[in-house]
Amino acid sequence: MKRREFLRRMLAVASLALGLDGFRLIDSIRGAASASSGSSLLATGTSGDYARLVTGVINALGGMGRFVKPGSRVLVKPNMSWDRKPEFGANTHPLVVKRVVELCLEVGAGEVMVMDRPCNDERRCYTESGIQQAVEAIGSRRAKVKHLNSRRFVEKDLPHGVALKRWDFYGDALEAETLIIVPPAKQHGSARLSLGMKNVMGLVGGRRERLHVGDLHQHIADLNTVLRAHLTIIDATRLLFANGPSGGDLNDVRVLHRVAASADPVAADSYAATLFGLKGEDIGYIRYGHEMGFGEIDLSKVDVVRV
Amino acid sequence: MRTPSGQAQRGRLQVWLWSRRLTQVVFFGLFLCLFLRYQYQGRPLLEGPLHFFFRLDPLLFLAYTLSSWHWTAFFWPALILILLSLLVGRFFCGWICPLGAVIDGVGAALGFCANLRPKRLSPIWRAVKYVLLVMLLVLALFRFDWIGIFDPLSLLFRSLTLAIYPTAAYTGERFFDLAFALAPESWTDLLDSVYSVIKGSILPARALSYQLLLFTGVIFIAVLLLELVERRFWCKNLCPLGALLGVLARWRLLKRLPAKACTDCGDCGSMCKMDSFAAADGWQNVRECILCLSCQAACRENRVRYRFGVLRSPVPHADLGRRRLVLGGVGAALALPLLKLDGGALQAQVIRPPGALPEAEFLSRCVRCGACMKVCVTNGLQPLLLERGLAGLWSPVLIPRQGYCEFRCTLCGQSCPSGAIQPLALERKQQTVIGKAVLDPSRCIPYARGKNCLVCEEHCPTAPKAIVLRPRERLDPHGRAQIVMEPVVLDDRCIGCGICETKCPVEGLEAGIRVRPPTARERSI
Repeated sequence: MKRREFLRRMLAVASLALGLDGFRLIDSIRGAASASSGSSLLATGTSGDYARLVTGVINALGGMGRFVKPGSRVLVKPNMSWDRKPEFGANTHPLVVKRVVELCLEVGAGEVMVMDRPCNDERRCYTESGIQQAVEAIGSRRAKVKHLNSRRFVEKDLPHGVALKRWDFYGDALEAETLIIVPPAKQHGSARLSLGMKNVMGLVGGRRERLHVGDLHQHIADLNTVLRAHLTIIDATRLLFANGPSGGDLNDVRVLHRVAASADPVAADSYAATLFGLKGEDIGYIRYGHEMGFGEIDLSKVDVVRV
Repeated sequence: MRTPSGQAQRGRLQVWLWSRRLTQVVFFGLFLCLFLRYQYQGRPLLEGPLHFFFRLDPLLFLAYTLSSWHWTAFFWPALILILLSLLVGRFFCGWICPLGAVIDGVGAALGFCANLRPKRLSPIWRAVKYVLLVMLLVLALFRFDWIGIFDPLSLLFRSLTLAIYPTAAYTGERFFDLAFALAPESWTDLLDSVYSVIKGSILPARALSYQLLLFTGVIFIAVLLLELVERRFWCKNLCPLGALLGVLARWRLLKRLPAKACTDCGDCGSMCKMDSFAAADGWQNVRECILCLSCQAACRENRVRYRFGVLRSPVPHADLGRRRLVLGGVGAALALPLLKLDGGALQAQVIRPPGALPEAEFLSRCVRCGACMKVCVTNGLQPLLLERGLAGLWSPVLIPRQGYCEFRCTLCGQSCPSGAIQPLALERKQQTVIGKAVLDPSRCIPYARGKNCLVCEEHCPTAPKAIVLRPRERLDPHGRAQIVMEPVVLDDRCIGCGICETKCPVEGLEAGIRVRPPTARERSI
């Protein structure tokens, strides 16, 4: 009952925000929600106005207040790993990141940190991705674009890890009350697709190249036993469908203006895989994530709300 | 007896003396600030008057002209300095030169060792810098360019880049290590915000290491410790820029009066840092005077004046010694084959930065200032020792295992004050072949161990990628067949940036994929 009541309320908020006929929407969803009780919820939509798009999708999940408590520390983790401009789809779009940070601030987050551990030069990635400027443009002292400080990695045991037993994780990521992963949707040579669960690799230390040796997919799933997103927001405003994850050719980019979000990291990734014409089961780490109980891989068991 | 007006005058002279010292500090400070600005500034282009000191340097101007036979307006500030030096002599050495300022500072700090200094060195020493200058110029004419190795601004910049700054940065980082370890947990965030401001502005954005750190540092410290032998030993006896400015000072119009050491005192002679009153007949050698004004401020009788006028005093040229100069020049020419001969086909092949001129031209143009190595965002540009013979000393090469060439970065070309590395537009730079990656199947993980890896493919920045994956059935160490993705390098796409070698997870110095220098043909495409 609690859950259903919650769904009702958040859908009302979402639909109000979108100016839809709230009750009719709720009625139509209610049947589905009760049919698959206890299932995951995923919201998705398309729009050229990324700020509105992100707001709408998050509202459809019940609003950011569901994930962020007033005064808490939030870590927003985009992908700004590559020295590429936003239109190349290798990094998360700066306007998507900006809106996510704003939503956190609006519900009273005490501090919103934005960070990544890039593959190219950190300074270049932060600025060329446009994310640093976008977050700084918010002008809030609570929003901080941070460069990682090597002293703040903490070595952690992975008691539930299958292939990994110990690895370094970034202190801020372990301490943040809310972890919001905002990955771009892209093709990746060894992981096949780089999505939300893969994005956690930007918050771990050590020689990450080593993670690629052997079963990268199991390593990704293992890292997610320690760092699991409370909210995954897939930035599919652009799909980088070839030459990923670094890209560099606009011919490899398909503009979709789509964003999808879910509290279930497996469902979010599984949905994102369909945008590439694949299924969640096709991607090793998504499959492992489901098997290890992180979430639902079968989209027929996920409530997909379109906004 | 001092009159009150004499007192006032002495006060004014002290003000002049201190203004000079302040000017030295200001120019040294400016040099340091500009030095720190040689880094990625958050924009694709370097901004600000970064090259100010290099452009001011008549010796680098001469080196550039001799090696390129090409006039450039880039060095117009050097022309101004030449004109000013003709007018007032070696004021640059006493007022502006940042190395001179460091040397003065070290000399003052070592004042307590004054009694260690020998009484007076033979005047022959004064001639060394002139002979050195002539040798360097003759060698430069024959395309063996070591001018930058002795040029004071180049020497200071290089020493800061390769030795002093990395050492200071290391010390700073260890300080923060200690602070983070000792500070209570509640301070960590505060400490982190302080650190994040300092990092990337005063401290470098990444830990720096250079392969000639110790070598460069020891030479720099040796230059400074020469202060134990004589004040301004470097400037007086060795500096080829000082020699060049000394030649110009021959006709200087700003005269010091009296032009001769007074017979009743002789303090000037004993206090002059540049030893400009060394001649037996007491005439001041205007070639050596750096207008430091110390003699004026110290004169008990207030006799010292500076006036514009035509110089009548005989200018001693004993220290110049025409014969020595000729000998120096001929000696240099004779030494050329020895200096230039290299290992031929056995010589190390190296990866030069993108935009570097063809090798011979590159080496004759490069002034060894180290600016490209300072500005390189990955710390991949490193100085050579003798891998390319004496001619290659301190010249920059890319060592991909240390750091790769960032695909969208053009900073090294922008930072080069001599044009040895041409500034390239981004599109051009991205097509400039600096090497070619070669896989080593005996080390590469998918080939050698039958496991997936693919880090090189992930990082390859060209579009389409120069490293592609090919599935192949292989036996794992237990003899089970499985599909492994093997990387393959497509030569026609590879530009040799080296990120594959930097990121390759194979343990040790030798990666599973390595960048070789390009052939002349590959380079020209």
